[in-house]
Amino acid sequence: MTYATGDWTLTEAARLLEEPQHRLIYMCEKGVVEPDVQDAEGRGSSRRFSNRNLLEFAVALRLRDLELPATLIGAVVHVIRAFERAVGREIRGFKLPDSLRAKEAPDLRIVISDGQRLYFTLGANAEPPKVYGGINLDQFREARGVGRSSPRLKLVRPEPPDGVFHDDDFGGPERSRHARVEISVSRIARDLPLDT
Amino acid sequence: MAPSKTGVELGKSHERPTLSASIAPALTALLDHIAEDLAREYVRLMEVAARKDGADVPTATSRDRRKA
Repeated sequence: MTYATGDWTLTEAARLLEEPQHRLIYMCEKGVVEPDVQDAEGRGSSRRFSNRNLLEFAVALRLRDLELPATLIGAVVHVIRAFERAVGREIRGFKLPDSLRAKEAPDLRIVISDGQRLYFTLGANAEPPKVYGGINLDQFREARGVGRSSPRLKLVRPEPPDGVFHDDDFGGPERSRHARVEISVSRIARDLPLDT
Repeated sequence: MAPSKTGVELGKSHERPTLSASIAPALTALLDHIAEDLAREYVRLMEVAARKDGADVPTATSRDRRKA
C-alpha cells in the first residue's frame, strides 16, 4: 500500500497553486495527474489530492506553459513517480514532495534541449549535475502507440559537436546546441506553500 | 487555510487506466530506466552528503553492507 500525505479538494489545490481550477481539471482529464486520495467517480464524487499531487500539478503546469503535449508531461510525471518509488526502496521514509524540500536534497531538474530532447539532471553541492535521458520529443508528439519498436527509441548521450566539452560552453550538462529550457523539480517542491 | 497533514491511504484511483498506461510499452520501459538511474544517483548523493556531515543515511544498500 502506498502512503501519501495531504488531502486537498480541487478548490484548495487551485488556491494553493494560484492556478485556475480548469487547468488542474485538464491535467486530471488527460490522466497526467491521478488524484491520490480520491478520484471523481460519477455525480457527487469529487477529486481529492495529496501533497505529491500538488507537486505533480506544479511541475505539469510549468511544462504546459511551454505548450508541451500532455503525453510528454504525463511521461515526466511518470518518471517522478517511478523515481519516488525507486528511492523509497533504498531510503526509508523518502516521500515527495517533502524529501525534495529538505535543504540538503539534491536538485532534480527537467531539461528540454533544443526543443528536441527531454533530459533529467541531478546534482548536489560541488558536484556537476549528471544527465539522464535524451528522449526525442517526437515520441510524445506523435499518436499514442507510435514507437512500439521504433529504432529511434533510445537514449542519447550528450556529445559535443567538436568532440570536446568546454566549461564555458552554452548548453548545460546535456550540451544543448542553441536552446535549453530547465525546470527545477526540487525548487518547485521547496516553493510549495506547505507547512511541513 | 492551514495545510492538512493527514496521512491518507491511497484508494482505487490507481487501478484505472492512466496516461502512462497508454504510452507505448517501450517508452514506458525507457522512462522507468531513467527513473531507476536517477534514484541510484540520488541515493549516492545523499550518502556522500551524509558522510561529509558524519551522519548516516539508512539506505537498504548500507544496511546490507553493515549486515555483511
